[in-house]
Amino acid sequence: MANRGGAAQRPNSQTQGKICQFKLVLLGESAVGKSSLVLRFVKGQFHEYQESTIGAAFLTQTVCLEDTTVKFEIWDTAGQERYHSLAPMYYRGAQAAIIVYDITNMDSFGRAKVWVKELQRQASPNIVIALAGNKADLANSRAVECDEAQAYADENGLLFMETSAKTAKNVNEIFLAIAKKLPKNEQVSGAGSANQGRRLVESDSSAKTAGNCCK
Amino acid sequence: MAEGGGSVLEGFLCPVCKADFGTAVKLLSHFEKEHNEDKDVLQAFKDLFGKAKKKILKSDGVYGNEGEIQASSRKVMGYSPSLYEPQPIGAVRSHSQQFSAVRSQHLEHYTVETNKLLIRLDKILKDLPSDPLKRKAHEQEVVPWVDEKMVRLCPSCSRSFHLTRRKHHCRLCGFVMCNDCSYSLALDTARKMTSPISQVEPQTELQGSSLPSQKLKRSNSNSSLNSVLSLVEGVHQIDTGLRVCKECLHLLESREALRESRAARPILIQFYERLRTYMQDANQFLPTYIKMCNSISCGESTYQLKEAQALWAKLLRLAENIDSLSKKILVLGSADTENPPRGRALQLQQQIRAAATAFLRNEMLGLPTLPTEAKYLEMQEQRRQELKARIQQEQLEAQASLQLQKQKVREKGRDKQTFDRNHVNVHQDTVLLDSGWTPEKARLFNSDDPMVQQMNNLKHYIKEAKLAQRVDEVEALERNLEELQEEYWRQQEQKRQETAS
Ligand SMILES: Nc1nc2c(ncn2[C@@H]2O[C@H](COP(=O)(O)OP(=O)(O)OP(=O)(O)O)[C@@H](O)[C@H]2O)c(=O)[nH]1
Ligand SMILES: [Mg+2]
Ligand SMILES: [Zn+2]
Ligand SMILES: [Zn+2]
Ligand SMILES: [Zn+2]
Repeated sequence: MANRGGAAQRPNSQTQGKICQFKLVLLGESAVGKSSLVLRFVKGQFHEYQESTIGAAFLTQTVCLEDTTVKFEIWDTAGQERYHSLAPMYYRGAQAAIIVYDITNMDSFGRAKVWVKELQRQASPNIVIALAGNKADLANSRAVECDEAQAYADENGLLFMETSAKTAKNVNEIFLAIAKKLPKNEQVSGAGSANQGRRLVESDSSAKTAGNCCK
Repeated sequence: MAEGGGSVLEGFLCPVCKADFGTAVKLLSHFEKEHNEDKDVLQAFKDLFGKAKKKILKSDGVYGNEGEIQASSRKVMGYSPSLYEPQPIGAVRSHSQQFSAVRSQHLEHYTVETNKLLIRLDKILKDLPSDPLKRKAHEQEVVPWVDEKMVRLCPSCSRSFHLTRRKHHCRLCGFVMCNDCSYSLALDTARKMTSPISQVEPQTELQGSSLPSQKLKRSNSNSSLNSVLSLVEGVHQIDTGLRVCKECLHLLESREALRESRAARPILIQFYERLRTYMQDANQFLPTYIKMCNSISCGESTYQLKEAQALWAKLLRLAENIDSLSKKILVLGSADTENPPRGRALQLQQQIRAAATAFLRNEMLGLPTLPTEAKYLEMQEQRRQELKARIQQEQLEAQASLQLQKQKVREKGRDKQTFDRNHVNVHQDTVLLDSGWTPEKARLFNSDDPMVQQMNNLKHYIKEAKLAQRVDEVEALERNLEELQEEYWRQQEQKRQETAS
């Protein structure tokens, strides 16, 4: 609790340099541990009996890099098939995505690849995509080899880590890696083009959204 | 392991030739000599022993060469899981039912016995005569005494009775014992025991007051520390107090200790409870205040500025109270330099203070402030203008679309009556579009359309984010809700067009 307090604080003080806000979406088959990963990252908690998500859950968390404070606006989507129609609403405006699979479940890796393709076609071209092989603590019943996933990630230019929401392994690391890879200054265009095709917003709120970064 | 119903072999068996070698060392050397062709199997086999050894050491509470053992078991992990995979759990049976049956039986016994004693005690204390003879008769009436001729040795210390070790009766169970084995229960202590709970004074010191057992003085005995104390006053008290045996006293004492611990409310708890009520009050006023403040800041006149200011003052007072009380809790007992709070107790106090400051920081510090009177009037005026402008704008738009409709109607060459009916329809359409699908919204909650579900989620999130004063979050959520609503509206529109055509 104590050690994440620093990161979770609202970046009120401007002393820290710029503050960037990014929209991040989690995608992946149901029960691979998306909610568990974010819950670990945001609250430091893990529940053995995590309930399946309905619709999409919303969380925020702030991380501090050297001279920048990055605030993640996180959308944890539901993996159940019936909610797939919602997913585009969440990845369209996103600057980052984590696609999660379960290392003990080969099918979930297949589904992850389908998500990668969909994002490459439909999401913002600048989107930073990370692939997370979750439940790394269950390496005993591994079904997806680490090397295979790494090779796939390299081919497609994805960040890749094996994570465990249960033991917290690589959870903060993967979010930090994303935060580092995200463009943090001029790149208003990244956010702009991500929003492209969406409706025009009213004059006052457009001022806030246009610079999704560094307001 | 016990597969196929065959007999189960046990011991230091060679996995290849199944012979039993009696000891691990012998088996290993045999294996190395005879079956050395497969290095990997040998390694795994050795590791298996490492694992077993570790288990045995652990279960004995002996910690051997941990490093070596762990290193070898790690090798097993990397090798063949089938060798050490946990066995499935066999038949399982719960003992908790039996346990609770035994426990409640036990408890019941104690409760019944204790209650019996209390009833007797109550009867004895009621109209207790001061004259010794009459008192004895009264006591015996309540609790019949055992015939002392039947008892030859003290049941407690097994010593014989004679002229100088006389027989005494326990006033509560009627049994016989010697003087050394009897205790004197002071009458006022006894009265306290039979009084209802509410009369037990709450104990206010942090450190817990003297235990009831210390109030009960043991009668004459040369063999214990207690007796030293009782020599001073006990001898006199035995006359006025009630003579009781060890068993009876023990039952009463346990009950008294329980009762006192229940009634005990250390000052920390009292402070903490007050702190909680302050926080609850604050929590109760906060949403109202925020609602008022937002409304007033928009120039609305739903609330009075004065009301909001009063509430603001109230919240400030609560914040001050929370701050000062939690500070008090933090330093509670630290003035006692010899025995200041430490360990868990100190941690608790620190955490209460931390929670209070977190509460102040998260809930109270970022509260929006009210505008001044002048500013408020100005905003009200501004809002009035905006409303006027909007109404005008809407009227213009309505007129324009009406004009359009008229044109269409004229083109179609309809007569005036149909036009009038259309006129009404046009107005309904405009309202429907503008005020955002009210009828659909009413149906939203019964829908199992994922999109609708999500919109409901979002409304809920927004409410929570507002309560939590998370400005950025509210903004993000509202943006998303708008997007969803628009998408939803688009889909509905599309459906309608599809069904229309
Ligand atoms: N052992 C282990 N279990 C995990 C881990 N992460 C999640 N789980 C468990 O996996 C189950 C599903 O996790 P969720 O976080 O609900 O999965 P989800 O991807 O959000 O599922 P949906 O909301 O249905 O899309 C839960 O029972 C978790 O406790 C992990 O790293 N290790
Ligand atoms: Mg989930
Ligand atoms: Zn052999
Ligand atoms: Zn005795
Ligand atoms: Zn007795």
